[in-house]
Parts: sequence; structure tokens; C-alpha cells
Amino acid sequence: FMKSGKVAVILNGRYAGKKAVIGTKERGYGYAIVAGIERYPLKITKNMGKKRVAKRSKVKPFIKVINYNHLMPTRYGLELESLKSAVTVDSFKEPSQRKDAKKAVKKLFEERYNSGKNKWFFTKLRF
Amino acid sequence: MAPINKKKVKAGEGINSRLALVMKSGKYQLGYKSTLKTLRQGKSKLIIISGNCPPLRKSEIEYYAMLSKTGVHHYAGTNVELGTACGKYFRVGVLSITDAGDSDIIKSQESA
Repeated sequence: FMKSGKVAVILNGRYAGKKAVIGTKERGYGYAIVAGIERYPLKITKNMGKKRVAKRSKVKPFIKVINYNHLMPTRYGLELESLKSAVTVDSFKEPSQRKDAKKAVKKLFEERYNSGKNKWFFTKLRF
Repeated sequence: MAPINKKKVKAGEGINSRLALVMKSGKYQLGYKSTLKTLRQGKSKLIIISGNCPPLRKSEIEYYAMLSKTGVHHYAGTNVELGTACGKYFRVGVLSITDAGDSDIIKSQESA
């Protein structure tokens, strides 16, 4: 059931406590390619001006190949067809490819956040 | 009092005998890490959790089972007893049945 499109929380490593979406699991063994949020967008309130809102809605993403043991799956999902094409196995081969993949993910995440869907994914997990 | 018609098999006994059958004829995984693996792959048919399993681990396994739509049975007994029921000389806190073999443990759990 660790399917692509499911949201998981990263348990170990630098990104512990961050939420990520499972991309493809093309590998036959227990690793998943995930795209996650490194820096969550800050809280915005009603009386904030446009510029402030724009600055606080930035999302910093990361992509990583993570062992399943270090993921805690959740019942939430984040369906993104374009995610699968943006982040593939080869995007991890070259650092420049990584940067491109991350840029694509950033755009996708910011769109999603601004459209107001998948709110849970974009809230920081407090612990 | 009217005589008892049948000696009612205790619920614990039923599970024990069924477990013994699974040990002989079916496939299973003992232990927390390997049961999580079977759950992730979807290979698990039934999960049995011992009575004294720490509650955090118990709820984690139940959550995984909920996500993968696998049945969970809370064994009435400690991990020592579960180990004995499996015929092993060590403690078993969690076990996962991947293939029931000749046993009807899974069908009886689904109806219970």
C-alpha cells in the first residue's frame, strides 16, 4: 500500500519530521523516491498585505530516495501526475538534474498550496 | 442447571491450535521488523499482536494494518505465551501470517 501519491512522514535523517509524497517506487527493493517539503510556508493571516503573503507562501522542496523503514505512511494522499514525470530515477544521477527536478517540484507544490487543496500536507508537524 | 451440551473451546485455545497449524503448513513472519515489511508489501493476511506489546508499537501496527486493510488479532496473552503458541523458545511480540496453509485462522478471524 506504499503507493505513489500517498503522503508519508519522514522519520530519520536530516528531513525527520517533514512530510513527503511518495513518487514512484521503480526500485524492486524497499526504497521510495519521495518529494517533500523542507521549509513549510509560513502562516498567513487575513490582514497581511499581498507582498507579505507572497513571501510567506514560499515552499522549499526536497527530493530523496528513502528507505521504507524511515517513512511513516499516513492515510493522506497528494495526487500529482506531473510529480511522477518530474522526479524519476535519473533525476538523481546528476546534481544539475536534481536542481531541475527540485525546481519543478517547487512549482507544483506552490500551485497546490495556493489552490488551497491538501492543507494537511502543507502544515508543519509540530513535535 | 441444564447440562452443558458441549465443552466450549476457549477462544485462546482456538487460536492456539490454529496457530500451530499455520506454523506447520503455512508461511509466517515473526517479529516487529519483518511484519512491517510484509505489511508494506501487502503480503500479510493477518497480524497477531501480543497482549503486552507496548501501546505505541501496537497502535503503529494497527495503523499500518488499517492502511493495508489487513486484519489484526489481539492475542490474549503475553509475548512469552505467543512464542510458545508458535512452538518457539523465544518471545514473539508481533507476528504476521502471509499464507495460511491448511489453517482456517484467517476465515475465523474475519467472521469474529
